[in-house]
Amino acid sequence: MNKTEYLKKLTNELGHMPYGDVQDIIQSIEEHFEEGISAGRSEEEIAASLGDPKELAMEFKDGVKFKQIMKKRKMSDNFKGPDGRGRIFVIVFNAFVGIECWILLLAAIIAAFCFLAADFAFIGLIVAGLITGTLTEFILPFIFLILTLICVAVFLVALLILGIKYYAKGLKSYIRWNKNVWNYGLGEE
Amino acid sequence: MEKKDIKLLITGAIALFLACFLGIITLVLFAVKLGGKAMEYDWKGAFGQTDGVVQEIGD
Repeated sequence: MNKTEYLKKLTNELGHMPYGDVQDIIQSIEEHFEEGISAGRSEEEIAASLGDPKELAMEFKDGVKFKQIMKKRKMSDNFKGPDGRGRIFVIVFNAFVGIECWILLLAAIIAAFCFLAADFAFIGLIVAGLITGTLTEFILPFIFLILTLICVAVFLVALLILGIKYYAKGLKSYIRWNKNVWNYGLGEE
Repeated sequence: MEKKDIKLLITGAIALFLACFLGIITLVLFAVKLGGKAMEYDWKGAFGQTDGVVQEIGD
């Protein structure tokens, strides 16, 4: 794959990112190609060293900077075999910190969901009470209570949407980081 | 963070602010209403009856 083909594929894969970010990424890749060519490498060699455009685009989408990606590529090129310390770290870290934190966050999301369900149930009860005339003496405070509960529901829905989205995103990145440490070690050397 | 997420975050923040604001108004309204009820309540009569019962037990 030459430079033009590689950049075209990468641009297609980056499609959903903001235009400015795509421009910055393409520029940094072009500079990388130019540096490689001036060092006597062929376009095909440089493209191969960058790896699959789809994977590269995914890394950019996860917010990884170009320098970090290149450092990782260099690390995997110099990789001599699995690092035992990295694997021990993954096991110990997940056993005592990682998995617990993710379960705790999941529990918070489930709690917010239950709270939202209770909120709707409470609104339903008050509305039923107002319609049937059981709460005739406290109509005004209960109307305000319904409005408050509706606002709480809106807040919880926003919180849940963002929470679930970033939980999934974070978990995905966390698993990828674990895989990386498991395969390539902690990279301290 | 995407623009859509920021909008959602702002919506959530506004909803939380309104919930607090309306919550305080609700509490005040309940307090006023219950206060009114308490003022209307026949405390003397109620405690008078209890006093009588206590007196009988004492005797």
